[in-house]
Amino acid sequence: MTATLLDEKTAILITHLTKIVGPDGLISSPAELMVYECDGYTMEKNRPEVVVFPRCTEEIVGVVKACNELGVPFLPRGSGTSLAGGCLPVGGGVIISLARMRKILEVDIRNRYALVEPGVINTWLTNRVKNDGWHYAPDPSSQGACTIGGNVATNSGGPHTLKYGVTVNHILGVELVLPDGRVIQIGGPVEEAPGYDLTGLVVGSEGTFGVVSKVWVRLVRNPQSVRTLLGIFESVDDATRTISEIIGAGIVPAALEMLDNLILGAVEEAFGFGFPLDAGAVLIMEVDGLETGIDDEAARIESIALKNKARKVSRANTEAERMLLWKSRKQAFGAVGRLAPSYCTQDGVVPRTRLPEMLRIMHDISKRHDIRIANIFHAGDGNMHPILLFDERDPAQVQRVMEASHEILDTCLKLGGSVTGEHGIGVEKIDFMPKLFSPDDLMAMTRVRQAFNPTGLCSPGKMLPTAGACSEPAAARQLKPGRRAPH
Amino acid sequence: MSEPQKIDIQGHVVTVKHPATQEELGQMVHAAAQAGQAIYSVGGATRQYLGLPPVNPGIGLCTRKLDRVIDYPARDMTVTVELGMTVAKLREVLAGENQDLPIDCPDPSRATLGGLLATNGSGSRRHGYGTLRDYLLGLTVIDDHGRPTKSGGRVVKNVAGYDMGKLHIGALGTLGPLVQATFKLKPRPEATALSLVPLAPDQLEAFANQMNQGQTRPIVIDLLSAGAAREFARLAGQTLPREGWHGLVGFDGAEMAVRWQLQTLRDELRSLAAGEVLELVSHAGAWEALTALGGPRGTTGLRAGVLPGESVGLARSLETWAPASGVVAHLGAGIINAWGDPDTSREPLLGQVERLRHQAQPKRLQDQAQPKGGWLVVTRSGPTARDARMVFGSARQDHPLMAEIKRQLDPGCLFNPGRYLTDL
Ligand SMILES: Cc1cc2nc3c(=O)[nH]c(=O)nc-3n(C[C@H](O)[C@H](O)[C@H](O)COP(=O)(O)OP(=O)(O)OC[C@H]3O[C@@H](n4cnc5c(N)ncnc54)[C@H](O)[C@@H]3O)c2cc1C
Repeated sequence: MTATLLDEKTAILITHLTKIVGPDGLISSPAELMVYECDGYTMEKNRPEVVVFPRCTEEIVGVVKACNELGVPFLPRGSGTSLAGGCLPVGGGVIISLARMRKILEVDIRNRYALVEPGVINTWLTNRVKNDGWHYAPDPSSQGACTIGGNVATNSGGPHTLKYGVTVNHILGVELVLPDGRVIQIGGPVEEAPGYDLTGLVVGSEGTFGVVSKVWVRLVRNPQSVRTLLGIFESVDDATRTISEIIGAGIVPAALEMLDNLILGAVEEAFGFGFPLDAGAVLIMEVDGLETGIDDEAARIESIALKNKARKVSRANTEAERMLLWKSRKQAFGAVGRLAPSYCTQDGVVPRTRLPEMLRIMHDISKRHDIRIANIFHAGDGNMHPILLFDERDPAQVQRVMEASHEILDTCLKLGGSVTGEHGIGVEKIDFMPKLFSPDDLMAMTRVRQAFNPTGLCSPGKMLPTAGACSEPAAARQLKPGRRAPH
Repeated sequence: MSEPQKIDIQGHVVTVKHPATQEELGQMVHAAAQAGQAIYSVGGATRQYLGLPPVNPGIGLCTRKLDRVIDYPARDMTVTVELGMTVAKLREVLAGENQDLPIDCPDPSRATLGGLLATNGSGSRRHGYGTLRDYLLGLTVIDDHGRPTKSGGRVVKNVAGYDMGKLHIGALGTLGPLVQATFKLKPRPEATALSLVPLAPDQLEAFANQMNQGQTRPIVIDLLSAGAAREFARLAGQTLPREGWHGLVGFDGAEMAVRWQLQTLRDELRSLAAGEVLELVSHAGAWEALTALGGPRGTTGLRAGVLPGESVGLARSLETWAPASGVVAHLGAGIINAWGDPDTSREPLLGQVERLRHQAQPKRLQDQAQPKGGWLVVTRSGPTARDARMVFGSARQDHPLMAEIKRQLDPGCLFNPGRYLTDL
């Protein structure tokens, strides 16, 4: 296709879309589009033709229908905090940003649910109901920025999902604009309507089944009491053995998070919590529940930590101290910039008892590839987020980061785990799908995608290696890390 | 034990085969597909009364011989098993490590895990523990070519690929035979307690509201009609101090916490209870009785879902719907089970059911064009013939999409044809 033809098509597209969302409801100049070339995964980039900002379901429908008429690919986007390239517009086209659909439509405490628009920021919901003593449980570390729609699409987890479950355990239903523009309600505030659990299927489908335009979420009562402990360890090994032992002892903590020495330094510089800089690792260990008996549980955890050579176990004595501790944890990614100009976060999972072994292998991988790796993660789930530190300007380093990442993820598979616990496959891990699943497994998934998204125009090039238009694998290959995609 | 060669599925007798391995089951599916025969999946045959009768001639494929433990890394709190295993056998295996899959199943020594998944079985403890969708980590299903297809994995957190397992939970086997799964597990609690609270008929709503805001954190918040309470007491070997409606509240956890909650509940309900509260502490028989209440009773069974806040109203209607009725309402989830011996000579079952179905629509949503609310399913219908309208009610918005998924995964309509919603 020549440049002029492409431009002509884009011009028609913009005219069409302007009629639907108005001139202030879309952007299309290259400068403005730059932000939308990638999301939190910055290793691959591609520019969309247009970004639209619908205000309601009807406008989403209009946009989706226009894209279908013109044969243009489209994909939904929340806040763009995806770490797997879920928002990468493979093949260009239209990004449907949900940033203007941010209303909490209904809060019904008696019936334990809320109905929200997809662009509502995760923490807003908890802030809205906290005075009633309730909260929305899934709490990704990015919760101050990411949207509930994005959480639904990626089935997000967070520190407290160890006890309370991930996003799918808290979604009752959605309104979905299907890739052909039909609007359907799946599930709803009443549980278990007869029929297939399409809600469970749509959660985690990474935007490939359509645009989620409303979400019914479950609300959870706050625990009566909380105890937050900080364990300080000489080595990562001692910390990970503590984790395995706590879980193995049948204790279900509310959260169990690990930070290693490298990340501690950065976090301490940023937030000044008072972490000891010479510690090999720290564990944030939280238990919650009834006041009666909670100190016993905290004491059991403390003694397991001490048995595993913790230098010290202390308690957050005030709510302010506890909040600062969690702030240090949740905003730690923001501090990583202090360690290196660029970083790449991985999301591997291993069975929890294999954590000590995995961390030892990771240490070795870091040394062999000469790439520094910081670790901060949801340890209780066996879900690791090694952060590979590098300088984007050095192609040799980028290459080594890729190799080290792949080796880490391959090791997770070898130990019986997965390549993604919560960030998703996106474009980043698409090559791993054939390692995780047989061609027959993938065929079954492809068939399900066919039912929702037969033309493949919605979020092409995501999740499944062979799905969507037949030119996709080639297109995806062009987008190799570190290089900008041809526009 | 010799395996039955024939099985009666809602009046249709089919020949049953008993594959010894997953591969053999796959080959049988393949052969049936080639021969154009339908496949009816059979586990312990405890719940074949659900759904609709078969429509096409075919064979039964029984999974019961597939009952191996594939992997049980107890310290990871997960287990991978074949799904012909009975629920009781899994319980036994897990008890050895003081762990459990906390999903209630009324007939555990016969029911298989595959059947439990296909019917999305759940009971009173769902309030505290959730349902199977919260425990299934990975699943292997035989596809329409007889090939195993898996999704998910064996670790507790994993978002690689579509969560196909969710699709099969409660699908009544219409998307293929389920052969292997990995479940997340829970530690068994140190102590348990059930508190049976007699309630005057005008205090039911107050009880429900109190339980939603009280200080305790129960794992069971049920409301039992007089008939259900009587049945519960009989099964648990207890005598009820008083007839009538009862609240049934369950706790588990550390012993100290359970004791504190019993006391707190007593204090909170002092003005509500209509008589003496019966407390059953760490009483295994009482829990078994409660679970058994979910089994078939009376000639006819109904199951309904409404907003939690509407469940008392519907529970009352269900209590008076038929003679010899029993109603168990799970108040936290708004899921209600009822049984009885309705008189169908005066009004056909369909008419009775449709009236109740209308009531299952939450009042404030009733007049909206698209009812978002309740549903009511006829689980058992005695001698009355079953059809989709009577059993499930009218189709919802998302049914065409379900039908499309069925067409994609089972284009030849091999698996349990006719047994679920129309088109599935
Ligand atoms: C610092 C940091 C910390 C993080 N911590 C966590 C964590 O603890 N746990 C965790 O799980 N993740 C974490 N993430 C990843 C990310 O925040 C989550 O995946 C989040 O759910 C994405 O939400 P979003 O609104 O930014 O979605 P986006 O990034 O905009 O989109 C993500 C995917 O969802 C799709 N999507 C978005 N909205 C919709 C919609 N309305 N309908 C259909 N599809 C849609 C997109 O197409 C894309 O595929 C973290 C990210 C960062 C940057």
